[in-house]
Amino acid sequence: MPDVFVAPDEEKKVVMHKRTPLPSSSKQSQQKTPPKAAPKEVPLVSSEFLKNPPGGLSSDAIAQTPEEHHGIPLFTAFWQNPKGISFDTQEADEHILLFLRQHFITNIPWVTATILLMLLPFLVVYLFSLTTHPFSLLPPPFIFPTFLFYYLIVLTNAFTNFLKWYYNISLITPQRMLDIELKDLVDKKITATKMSLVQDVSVQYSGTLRTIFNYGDILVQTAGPIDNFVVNATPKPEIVVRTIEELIGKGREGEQGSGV
Amino acid sequence: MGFNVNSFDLITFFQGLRPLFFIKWIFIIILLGYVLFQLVVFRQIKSMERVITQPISSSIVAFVSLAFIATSVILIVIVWSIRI
Repeated sequence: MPDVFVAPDEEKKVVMHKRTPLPSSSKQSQQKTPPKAAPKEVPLVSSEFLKNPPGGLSSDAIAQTPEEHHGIPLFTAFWQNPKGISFDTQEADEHILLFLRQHFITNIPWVTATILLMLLPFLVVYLFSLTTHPFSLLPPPFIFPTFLFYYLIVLTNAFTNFLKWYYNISLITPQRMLDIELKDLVDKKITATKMSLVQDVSVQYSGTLRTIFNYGDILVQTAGPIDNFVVNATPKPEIVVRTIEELIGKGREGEQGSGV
Repeated sequence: MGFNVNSFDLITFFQGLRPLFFIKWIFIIILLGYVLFQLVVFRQIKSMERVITQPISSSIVAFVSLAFIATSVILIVIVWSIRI
């Protein structure tokens, strides 16, 4: 049975997986926040829930958390408050809260296939060496270029799969959600939706790997004829859901405030 | 005038073919196609860099793509230099 985390529209709907304590950095950031800077907000959920979100940071905490990554972000799948990343339609005051890719574990199938294909020529040569058949499918001058070309094709296939993962990015800013996708190396798809149009958000974990490595599919339902957002295999989905849910709440409060 | 069908001998034609010559040129044509494909990939990487800027890592990806192109060009030179 899939383990489903439902966005907390009401406190009753919240299904918590693990109640983990906040990281020390977020605690410090919350402590450092001056009381007068905190705006008067009508919380959508109880204060206890806001103090201890289910395994995640709030959007404010993420905004105050220093960037969290180690080394070159070539294989980063989850990056809070990223620095140095920008997109072409970004506004001057628009800050990226979350930078998401699919969990790196999703690359295991093509990585395994690549390793096996790289070992295949050695296996073929070994098998031929066991028989009396001479290894002469090709004339001798072409054997080395053929091997080199074979490895070039195998590595190109791996590189292509890596690029599909590398350029499949979701960004969450206080104003909107963006989904950037590179399909088949020739098609690119960029989808964006405003946070004010987001109706609901949910996450689905299904499968053993997803439970073990803590990643899941996030479904963001939008209003009107706009297609729903689906962010597949996102690491730490509870933090993502929590962030989006807070941003939706702020958007609604802003609309109500401006209406009055 | 023109091509005399009666004088065309299919067996002689195939006997006259040099397989190594064809293997060489088939190799070169495939490799040229590969270079073209890698150029498209490189262009797409540059295009994606404009859509989303990522520090350092995008440069590494572009560099790897260029390395593939360079390797295939070297391979073309190797195949070209094979004497039949």
